[in-house]
Amino acid sequence: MTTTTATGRQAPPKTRTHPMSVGAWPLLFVGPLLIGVAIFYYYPIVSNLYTSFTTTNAFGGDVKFVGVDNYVDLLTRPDLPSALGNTLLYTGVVLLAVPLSVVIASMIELPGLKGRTLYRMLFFMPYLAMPVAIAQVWRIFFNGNFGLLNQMLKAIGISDPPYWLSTPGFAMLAVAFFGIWSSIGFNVIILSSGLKGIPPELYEAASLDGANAWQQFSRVTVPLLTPSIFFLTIMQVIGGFQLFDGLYAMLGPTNPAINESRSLVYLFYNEAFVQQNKGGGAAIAMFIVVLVGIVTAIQFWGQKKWVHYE
Amino acid sequence: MKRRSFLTVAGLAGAAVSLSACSGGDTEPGGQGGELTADTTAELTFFYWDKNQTPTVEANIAAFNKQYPNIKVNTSIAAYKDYWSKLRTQAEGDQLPDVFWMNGPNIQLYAGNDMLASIDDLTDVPWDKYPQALVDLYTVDGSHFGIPKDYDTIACFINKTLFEQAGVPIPTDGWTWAEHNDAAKKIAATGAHGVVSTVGAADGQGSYYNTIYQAGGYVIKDNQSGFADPKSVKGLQFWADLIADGSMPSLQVMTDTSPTVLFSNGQAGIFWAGSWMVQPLLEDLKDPAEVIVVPLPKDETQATIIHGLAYVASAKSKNLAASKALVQAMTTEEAAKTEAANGTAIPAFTGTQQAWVDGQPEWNLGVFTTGADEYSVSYPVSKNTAAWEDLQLQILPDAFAGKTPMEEAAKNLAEQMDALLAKE
Repeated sequence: MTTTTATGRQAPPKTRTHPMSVGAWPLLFVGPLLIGVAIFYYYPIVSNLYTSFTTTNAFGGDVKFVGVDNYVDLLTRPDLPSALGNTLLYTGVVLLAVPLSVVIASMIELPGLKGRTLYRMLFFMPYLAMPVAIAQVWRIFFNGNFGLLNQMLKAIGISDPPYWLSTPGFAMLAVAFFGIWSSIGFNVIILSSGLKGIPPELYEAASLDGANAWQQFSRVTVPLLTPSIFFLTIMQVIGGFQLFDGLYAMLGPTNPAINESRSLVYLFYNEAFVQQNKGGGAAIAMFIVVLVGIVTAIQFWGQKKWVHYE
Repeated sequence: MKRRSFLTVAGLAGAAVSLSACSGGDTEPGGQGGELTADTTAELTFFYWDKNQTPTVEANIAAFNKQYPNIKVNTSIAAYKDYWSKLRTQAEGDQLPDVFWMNGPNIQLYAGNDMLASIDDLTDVPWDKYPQALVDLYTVDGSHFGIPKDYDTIACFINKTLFEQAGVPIPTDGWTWAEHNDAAKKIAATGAHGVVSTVGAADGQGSYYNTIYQAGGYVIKDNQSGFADPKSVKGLQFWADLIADGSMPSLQVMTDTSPTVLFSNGQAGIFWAGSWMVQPLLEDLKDPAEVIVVPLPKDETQATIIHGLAYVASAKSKNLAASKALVQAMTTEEAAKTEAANGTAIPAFTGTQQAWVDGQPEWNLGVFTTGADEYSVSYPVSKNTAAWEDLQLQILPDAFAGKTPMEEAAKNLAEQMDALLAKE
């Protein structure tokens, strides 16, 4: 595409269409998507921001503007620190899924491995299943009275294993374990395609230089995978901050450990849909959005130091 | 195929009702709600949650259609857990169904926010034929908003085999707290669980609401929390004591395996539960013959929490007269008889309960209806009941488990609850 400069000769105007049409065509193609995003993402966020400065009755009527009252209420909540702490703890633990997935993906993509497709499928399947349904299976696994885990622990001589899902602390670990397990499938697929993008010559060169398997993995594979790893880290952190369904499905609102295990989104759910305080719920939602935004911005800033783009 | 068999059942049940409706037809002239006549053409939507009661609902609608053949009723159903969130969404969008089921915790919320139609203008509702506690539950600011459909009360389900093994007499004629606790302790000593309940899920209705009133305390009065009252604390402490001395399993055991499962597996001697558990237990119990129902133990007084559903009409219904007529038709004596015969719930209409009681004669189900008639206490509610029920869930389980002193927890709960009540 040619462009004109201030000093250059004017391009013959007849050879190109009207500049406006060039501008409008792309817009026409992105239009449907843009409208969709605007209606289903931007409008709700703006509307939520407005709601967070109001109080309403239980059915959304009788709207009153209350300024930053909802935010003051939120920041002075006694259960905010623990919810924030739980969310951070959970996010930190599920981040382990990323290195774990790198190891698994590298093993699946090892040259000469038989049954590669089968392994890929096995690891990806959990991602396809309904999270709430899987959570029920894990509930049975972790059940303190007859669960498989405690049966195994008893078999190896631990006489009094904990009630995983109803003891504060252990409950969070169990939910995080479920979080790791269910995100590995997606991670492995992304990393597998990343691994395929690494030219085999690099490995040949490395082995000619005398690099052993571990050195090849740490000096060639991992650095060249960093764009995929970075992407997964971003997604994993966002997913961690949005912890709700695993918590709700595995522990549930009547669990004696739930008070010590609430996440930020759980607070939001409770405020908006149990306590019927729409404004307060909206304020928590904004708090989460800002928090995730800040953490993601920091990650993007930090990536310059460790992500290698070819 | 599912739909077909469902319609067949509904048709058969409908025929049965219309037969009985014919015999009593002349005592009940139509035309409630003024302009409504047999020729009125309308389409109504009706929303409910219990699929077990579908045959009853369909039969009663069929009876309604005998009277108003041109009023079409479209039913829809949602599981209980989703029902209230769907209803709320519909209310927010001005799309409430014309007629739907209502419960105690939600009535003041909906009526108080002008979502429900007052049914004071229905002239021939026999209000004295329903339990007063239920009529009051659905009366808000002096106006009737719902006609009671059914009711439930709480009692103790007893495993006779475990009682006999522990050498404890079966308290068919009632018992005291001391006798109850003694029995639970002796059963626990044999290796089984003495008593189980939904106390760990902070389900007051099935557990501590009853003991609070038995001890002479209260949950809410004049829009003030009663949890801090010393007698209420005594009613709450009842459960902490049972857990502390091992008569009741820990909250963790009852979280990982529900009390219902523990009891139906024959692992628990006493199960505090509502009349709605009769059908599920009949299906799950290995040996129904080893079970009998006895009244809740008494302390200062005898008490059981009564709650029941009502039929209500949306204030925004386009066919208000037809909607109100449907509300009324679903709660007549004939409708109640259908309910009782199907055995799914205790009908609210006086004199129709016997068929429900006779459904399982060996279980002594009359305990539930006698309780309702003689010593029942209304399920405590306010305008935003869910808000302070959630507080109980946050505060009480730690106290039941013995982690915090009950008096302190109750005081904390009462303070926070009063703050919520002040906002209503």
